Amino acid sequence: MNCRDFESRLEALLDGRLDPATRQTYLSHARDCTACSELLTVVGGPTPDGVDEYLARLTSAVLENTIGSACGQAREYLPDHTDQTLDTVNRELVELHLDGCAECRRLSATLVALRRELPKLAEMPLDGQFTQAVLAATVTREPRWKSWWRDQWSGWVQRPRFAMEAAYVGLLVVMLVLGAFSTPLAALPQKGVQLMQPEPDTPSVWTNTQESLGTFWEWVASLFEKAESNQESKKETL
Amino acid sequence: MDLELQTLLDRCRQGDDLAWEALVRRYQGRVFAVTMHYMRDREEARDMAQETFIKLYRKLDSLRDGEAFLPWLIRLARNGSIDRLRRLKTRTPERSVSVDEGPEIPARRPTPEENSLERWRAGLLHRALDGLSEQSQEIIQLKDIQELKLGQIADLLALPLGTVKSRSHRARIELAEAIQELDPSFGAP
Repeated sequence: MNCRDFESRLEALLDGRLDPATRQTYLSHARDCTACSELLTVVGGPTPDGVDEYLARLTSAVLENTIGSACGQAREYLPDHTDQTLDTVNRELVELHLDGCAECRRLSATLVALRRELPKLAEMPLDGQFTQAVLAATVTREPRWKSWWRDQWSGWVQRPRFAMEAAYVGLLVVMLVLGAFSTPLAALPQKGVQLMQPEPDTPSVWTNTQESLGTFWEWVASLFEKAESNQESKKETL
Repeated sequence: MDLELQTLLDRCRQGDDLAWEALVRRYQGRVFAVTMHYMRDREEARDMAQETFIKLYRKLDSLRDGEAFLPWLIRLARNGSIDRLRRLKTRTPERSVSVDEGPEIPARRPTPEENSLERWRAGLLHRALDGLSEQSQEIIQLKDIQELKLGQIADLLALPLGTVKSRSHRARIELAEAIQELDPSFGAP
């Protein structure tokens, strides 16, 4: 860089538009060239050694007068930045922010350290008797099918609709036992019905009942007749 | 020698007692860390860890394979711990689970003679974690300590993936800030 280049880029330096590499070259020239260093002082710009600080102050001033602070958005991206899952554009934007923000840089360093340290807490030491206790409670206790069956059974029984379901299943079993034609009990319902029916030559319960009722009504009627005849004979004597 | 998890699981299913013992030894520290996180009492957490392995033993036939095993085991430990906590709270309503019952945490930075730096860091992390909400602590435990994937945590907590992700980000930032308050030099190069 010569003095002419220096002058042509002076405005860009003051506006903070120089990329880091060019700024570095610019500063090297200012350190070596007394004239350019004086020029920088005359225009009120930073001294070569304090240009970064000057630019940082300039950025802060601009942000304060526009959006306030970009730290909020940077913080949203910091966990993904730590996990390296941020897309390229956002990663570069976050890194640019971190270059200029000491607080977020510190937070980012803490997040990186946490990512390294937290998985170390995944295991907590237990005394040697723990394994023995687990083995005593599992391996030597009972066959697995037994404990499985007990778990299943208690699960079924403790269901709220168990009683209704048990009744339903019971009914199904009765129907299957009595209803399937291949079962030896298939004829049982029919036999039951036959038992209820009277034999043809013996009077049925209903016939006997009818006869008994007929006799009863005849007796009642005779009582009425007797009473009426008594009344008539009394009238005649009077 | 580290046996492959799949081999261990296959042997356990076949009723191999040695494989079962190896599986218990390999995962007891993790299960205990999870139960300790919820129970906050060493004895209760130990009992719960034992109960988790007994349940695991009864469910050997339905063990999940490969990558799905650890999330499944953690789910078993978490759900069991929460159930046990509910039972304990119902039985003794005055019982309050205090964070002070947690693992031993040094209150000041110990000298090299007293403790190793690693242990001091673990204590610092526990103290910072204790200051977070239960929700944040749980998400840190599952995502950053046990290193479950966000999808697995979403399944475990029955929450949408986006919610889990945003909670995880928030919790990590909260933890980082809490750590900085406790020790500003934490993470410094």
